Parts: sequence; structure tokens; C-alpha cells
Amino acid sequence: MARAITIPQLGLTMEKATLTTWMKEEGDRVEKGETLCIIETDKIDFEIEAPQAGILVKIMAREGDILPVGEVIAVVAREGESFDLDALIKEAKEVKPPFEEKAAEIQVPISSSGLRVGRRDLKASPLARRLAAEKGVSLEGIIGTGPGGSISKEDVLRVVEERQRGPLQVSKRVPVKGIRRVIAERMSLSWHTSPRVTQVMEVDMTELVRFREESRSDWESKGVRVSLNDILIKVVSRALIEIPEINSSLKGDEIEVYGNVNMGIAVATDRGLIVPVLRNADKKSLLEIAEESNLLIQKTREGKIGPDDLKFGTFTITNLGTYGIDLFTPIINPPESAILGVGKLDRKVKVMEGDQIAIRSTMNLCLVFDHRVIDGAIAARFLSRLKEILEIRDQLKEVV
Amino acid sequence: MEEKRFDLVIVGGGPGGYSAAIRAAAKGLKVCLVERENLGGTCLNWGCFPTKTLLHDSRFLSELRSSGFLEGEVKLKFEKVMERKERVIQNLTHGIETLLIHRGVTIIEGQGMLLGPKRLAVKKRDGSEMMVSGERVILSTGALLDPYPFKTDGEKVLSSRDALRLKELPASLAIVGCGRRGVEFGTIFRGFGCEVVLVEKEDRILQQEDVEISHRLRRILATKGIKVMLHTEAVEAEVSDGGKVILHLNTKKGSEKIEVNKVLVPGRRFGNIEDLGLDKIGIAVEGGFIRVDESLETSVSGVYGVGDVNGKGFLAHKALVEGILCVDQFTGRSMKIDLRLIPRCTYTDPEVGSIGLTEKEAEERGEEFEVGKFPIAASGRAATLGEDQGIVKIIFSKRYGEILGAHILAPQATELISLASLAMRNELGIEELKAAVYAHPTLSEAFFEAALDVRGEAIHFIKGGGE
Ligand SMILES: Cc1cc2nc3c(=O)[nH]c(=O)nc-3n(C[C@H](O)[C@H](O)[C@H](O)COP(=O)(O)OP(=O)(O)OC[C@H]3O[C@@H](n4cnc5c(N)ncnc54)[C@H](O)[C@@H]3O)c2cc1C
Repeated sequence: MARAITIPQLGLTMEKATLTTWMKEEGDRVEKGETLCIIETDKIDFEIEAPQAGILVKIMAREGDILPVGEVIAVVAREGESFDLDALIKEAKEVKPPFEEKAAEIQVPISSSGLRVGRRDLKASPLARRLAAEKGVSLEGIIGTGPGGSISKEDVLRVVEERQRGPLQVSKRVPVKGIRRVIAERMSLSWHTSPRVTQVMEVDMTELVRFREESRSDWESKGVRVSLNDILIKVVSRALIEIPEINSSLKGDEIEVYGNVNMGIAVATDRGLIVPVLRNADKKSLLEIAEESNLLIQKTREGKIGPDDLKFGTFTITNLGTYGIDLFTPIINPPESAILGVGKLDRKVKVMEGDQIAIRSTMNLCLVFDHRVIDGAIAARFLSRLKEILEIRDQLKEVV
Repeated sequence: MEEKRFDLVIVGGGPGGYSAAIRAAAKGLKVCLVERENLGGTCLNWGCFPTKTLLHDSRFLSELRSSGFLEGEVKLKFEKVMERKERVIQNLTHGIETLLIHRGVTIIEGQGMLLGPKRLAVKKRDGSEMMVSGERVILSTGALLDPYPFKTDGEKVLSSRDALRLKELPASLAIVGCGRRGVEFGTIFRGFGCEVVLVEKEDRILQQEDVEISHRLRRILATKGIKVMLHTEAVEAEVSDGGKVILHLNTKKGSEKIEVNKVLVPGRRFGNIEDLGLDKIGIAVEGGFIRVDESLETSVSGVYGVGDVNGKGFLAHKALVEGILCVDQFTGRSMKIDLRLIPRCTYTDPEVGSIGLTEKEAEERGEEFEVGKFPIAASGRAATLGEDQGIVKIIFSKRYGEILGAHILAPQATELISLASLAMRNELGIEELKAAVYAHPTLSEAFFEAALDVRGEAIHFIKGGGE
């Protein structure tokens, strides 16, 4: 008897399928169970098998066609058999594909309907299939950890659990209060009020490093430890006095430009980021700055800092170099108008004058500024001035 | 000093060590296996194989004696039995050696000791010493038996090794402790015609097995003439003037004494870790065994503990599979070892094979389950074997028909249990068990029948009738 081959319904919600490949051509002899063609739904690939032996007498769909469930795609008949195509099609369409069982969409009647799951990665244990059906999860995409990579009960349960838990796994909840709350509020205030621009400039620190080495014993004999940051405070303070537009605040309709530098120093503590202020840094010597900043940082770390030590900053330096950061864009500490981010002290191969190659100490300075108050050109001038002082020995000597 | 380098160095040539060696060599690693005694370890030389050979012969003899087919008395030549056992062991250890050599494993006969995480000194049998180093090291030195509750003397009070070296069959034997090995030795010696008393201080034999199986086996042992004394603690073994052993017992009724020719003390296990140099490289030890994580790695990275020595079970097939899976993770993805899916086997007559949860454990876990049973008395094949004792019992989860546990007391139970192992590993449940075709008449049909029994649909057995 001639048999019409139709697109089978493979799941409750399946409406159509794409015919991807014909494995046989019209006129080919086929054995029962041989694959005629492969169809694909959004969920799965299937091989459609010949329901009986005979000749594939007619092919009625092409590769790439999108076909509704029940559509006749071919006819298999016995050799020499004559048949009425229209009647066959009509008959085939009247038979509703049997799919009443409520089951997971992937749970496909195997072999009984002449169909086989074509996708190899859908190997799943019987128990996994049963569970998936009950929990309403698709086996598609589940990574199998059972024998030969088959999907096991554990794998299905893992997916079910993940689905219940959602994609995020909260390991603990920390109330936002105290310093954290202050940081949160000030950072959002800054972020939402100041339109920021960032400029980065690489500075050659070789001279400065050398200078520090040379001066170390002298400083130590005076009982002071001078850090790179202390030198930066001193140098930045000088540049701020020279280019005071950076050392300013937007207050209502006015910009207040300051004649002294109160330098904020960002300090990481167990309780959060705190920025104590070193007052009148521009008027202090390097050693005074070093002493005072050491004290401030120590007090901050120990939680002994008073409210007065945190007020009236005009500019802030934040150094993440010790954490290995190359460059970053810190958030301005309002009401200040700019902040300087300091990257790590690095060693690089540089091309020097006369095309000489040398190994130099370098560092990135990242200036983030409030464009309402400061324009790019001024900011660039400020960074250039810093670079100049830090790189040129005489300038440095003159400043510190 | 001579020093050789390998990808993998394995210390101990028992099932854990040799399976790892063969697997690793097959995957192209350069492997060295260090063994101080005999290849095959406890399993081949002092465990599984000598006992199974003796068990076979003892069964054979007792069946012959009880068959009534022969006239006159069937007399035992015990030395012939022991000779056959030796031959079997020699053939098998030789076979292991051939396999290892064929795979290109370098075998070094000697005692291994760690000097560093990747370096070992080996004291060879001829007294010389050499160094070996490996990218990875597997320790599979097995377990030793601690004489417990009292010392053995090799003559009257025997360890399991002593029992396997006996030249003559003792007329009577008391065995202290009814664990797997206790009941196994009891079955062997009883089969040869020895009077056997089993002494157990707890309320049942085979503590780790399902209660029903324990009780059924105890009754069977009794019908075979083995005396089982429960709630009885052996406190002392004293050699009497007449050369017998007086075993002092604490029973529920008070102290008692029994007189026997020999006492067998199967003992307690502890990891074979002495002189292995563990402390030198800081490998953590827990309760006398090497501590390992899920991937069998010790506290020192690159050093692994496989088999009895890690204390997670004392069965040769556990050691075998650990050896294989341990190596697989060096060369790619490895399956996890699920200790719940390791079959437990007791070689008695009939045998006990079990896997997964016991009925009590399933209850304690709050599982909703159903039990399917098939009594061996209803098995046609068992009848042809002259057997009518035992049961196949499968515990299924109510919801999914998953097999939670299987407990078999039957002839060849240790063969049958692998069917349950295969099913559980692949998560086949009650429906799949029912869907397969089992050859008839066989013992394995019991699986089919037990699955059908859950709904009272067994073919060869009526629920509530008979058993
Ligand atoms: C009487 C008896 C009967 C048993 N029957 C069964 C049974 O029927 N079925 C079953 O599954 N299990 C049985 N077992 C248990 C089984 O023998 C063990 O589980 C199995 O042998 C463990 O294998 P393994 O490789 O971990 O250690 P082992 O087989 O003990 O091998 C360890 C090897 O390491 C060697 N070694 C130790 N230290 C060193 C060192 N420093 N250097 C070099 N070599 C060293 C030892 O000489 C030994 O050969 C039985 C045990 C006993 C005692």
C-alpha cells in the first residue's frame, strides 16, 4: 500500500518544522526504518524513517521548506504500485497526529511511530526524562554528567533548582549604613550632578625615583618616612596654586576658586573608603606633609579620625598603584571639582631622544574633572605641568 | 643513586594500583608501579581469590556429601585444596604481571617511601635503593588487619592470613565477629566439615546489610550447622593444656566458655601507611586512613589515595574503579565516583549482594518507597540447583519508580547484583526493569518478578502465599 509521509507532531506546542536534509532521492529504493529526511524544530532534530520498504516515489517538499504539522512531504509505495495522490493527501490530513499524552515536549515516542530522536546530545536516563516531564523542564541544553554524557536525574534537579533560585545567588545581605551609606550617597550625588571628563597622562618617573633614593637616608636621619604619595601631594599642591581653576568648587551661581590647597587623601579602611584632608598642603614642606599624612592615614585606619579632619577639601588624590591598577577613573569628591587617580609605578621600555631605547619608570596620572567648572584645555595644562615637575630634576628640586 | 622519572608513580600493586597503572599506560603515560610483596595485593594473594577458590571447593564437597549420589564416605584431602588455591593465585598474579608488562608499565619490586610530593625512595628486595619521581603519585597501599579483640598467635588464634595458610582442617573453629569476612570464613570451613561457631556482640550478623537479609542468612547458616551466637562478646582466648583454645564469652546470661581447636579473628582494618613517609610531606591522615577529597586527591596536590587506604570502603571493585577514574581525570574528564552505587558482596552459600539503601535507611531518609520481592523458593532455576532459600528485594521510589536499593540473598547473588548496579548507574527504574526480556529459566528473572510484585503482578509467585 502506498503511504504518505507527513510532518509529525513531536510535542504539544509544535506547529511547524523545517525540512533540513533529504537523505534519499525520488525514485530511491528504501528499507523499512531507513532515514528519509531530517526535520528540525526550534527544540530538536528528527529523522523521519520509512514506515515500510518500497520506492520513494514522490518528494513533495524541498530542503529549507518550513512545513506545518501534518503536511505531506513524500510518498513511499511498493514497486510498480499505482496510487491516487490526491486521495492519499486527503486521507493523511484527516488523521490527526496522535499526541494526547501530557509529557515533556522532548519525550518523543521512540521508534513506535517510525521516528527517532536525532540529536545525540539529548541522551538522557529514563528517570531524567520522567522527572523533566513532571517538572516541565526541557532537556534541551542541559549538560549531562551521567554515563557517556547522558542527562541524569541530578542534572535535571540542578536545572530545576537553578530555575527556582533564579540566576543570582545572594551569599549574604549587608545593610547599607554608616560610612557605606555616606559613601553611597556622596558617590551618587557626584555621579548625577557632575558631568565628568577623564584625561590620562603617562609620566616618566625615573628622575623622581632616583631623587627619592638619593634623599632617603637624609629623610630617614630626620626620622620621617616619605612616600611617593607625599611627594605627589607636594607637587600637585604646587600645580594647583599655579593653575587654581582646578582647585575650585561650583557653589550655586558661582565658582569659588581657592587660594589654598586642602588635599584629600583617599584611604581604604575595613569600614570603607575615607578621605581625610591635609590642610594647607601648599604651604607645608615635604617633610611636614609626610609626617602629617602618615598621622592622618594611621588615624583613619584605626578609626580615630574626627569630623574636622574630613572637611574642607579642595582636591583629592587617590592612589590605586599599590593594588596594581594601571589607570582608572575615580569619582569626584563633591563639592570639589577634580580628582587625581594615580596608577602603579611601572617599568617600561621607552624610546628616548635620539631614538635610544631605555628602561624607564613610568606611571599614569588620571585626572577626572567636572566639565561644568573646568574645560579640557585647562585640565590638560594642569596635567602637563605635573608631568613637567615630576620629570625634570631641576623643577622637582625647586618644588619640594 | 639511580633515579628514574615517570609521569605517574603508583605505590602498591593491588586492584587499586594495578588498575590505575594499566589505565594510565593505555592512555600513553609513562608509569611505574612499586610493589613490596606480590602483585595483585590483598585481593589476589590474601583476600578475594584464595577465599573464593576455597569457597568453591568447600561448596563442591558439601554438595557432594549431601547429595547422596555417592556411596561410602567422601574423604577430604585438605592439602590438595590448598594446592589448588595456590595454583589459582599464582596463575592470576602472573596474569596481572603479564598485563602490566604488556602495557609497558615499569614494575619495581620494593618498598616505596615518599621523600617529597613527587619523589620516592624505593628499597628494593635485594637491599639496594633507588629513587623514582613522578608528575603525579598514587598511593594504593591497601589496608592491614589489626587483630581485634585479641592478639593472634598464628597457631591457635588465627588471622585471616593464617587461616589461608592452614595445613590441616581444624575439627572446630570459632570466628570472632560476623562481618562479611567472618561469615565467609564460617561458610568455607563449615563446608569442608569443620564445626563452626560464629560469635557476634551485636544483635545481628552483617550489620551493614538490610535487616531482613541478615536474619534470613542467619537462619540459613543455622540450617547448615553453623552456630551463631548473637549478643555475645568474645573477651579472651586461652590455650588449654590439651592444646585447645578456650574462648571466654560475655553473653546476655553471663560469662560462658567454649572449647574449640582454633579461633579465627578477622580483625579491624587500618590504612597501610606506616613507613610511607606521609608526615614528611604533610599528607593528612584521618582515623588511620589517608584523607582524600572527591577526586581522590590527598591534602598534598598531585598525590592521590586510591582503594582501601583511603578508608572509604573495603572492596576490591571499589579500589578498581577508583584506580581507573583517578587516572581518567589526569587525561581528561572523569566520572564522579558515587560510593552509594558500589555493590556490597558477601560470599556465603547462598550469597549476599546488595546496593543502595536498605529498607531502614530509606525509611530514615523519609523516602516514599515500595518494595518488590521475589522469594528464591519460587524460582524454577533455583529449584534445579537444589536451592530454595533466599530472596530478591528491590526498593523503588514511589514517585518515579527509581531503584533506591536492591538486596539479594540467593545463589550467585554477587553476579546478580551487577544487574542492579547497571540499572541504578543508568537510572533505569521499575518500568525499564519490566520492559526487558530475561532468559528463562535463570536466576535473573527474579528482577523481573520483583518489579512486577510491586503491583502484585508477579508471574511465578503469589504475594502473601508461601513466603
Ligand atoms: C580475607 C579477605 C577476603 C576478601 N574478599 C573480598 C572479596 O571477595 N571481594 C572484594 O571486593 N573484596 C574482598 N576483600 C577486600 C579486598 O581484598 C580489598 O578491598 C582490595 O584488595 C583493596 O585493594 P587495594 O589495591 O586498595 O589494596 P591491596 O589489595 O591491599 O594492595 C595493596 C598493595 O600495596 C602493597 N604495599 C603496601 N605498602 C607498600 C609500600 N610502602 N611500598 C610498596 N608496596 C606497598 C602491598 O604489598 C599490597 O600488595 C577481601 C579482603 C580480605 C582480607
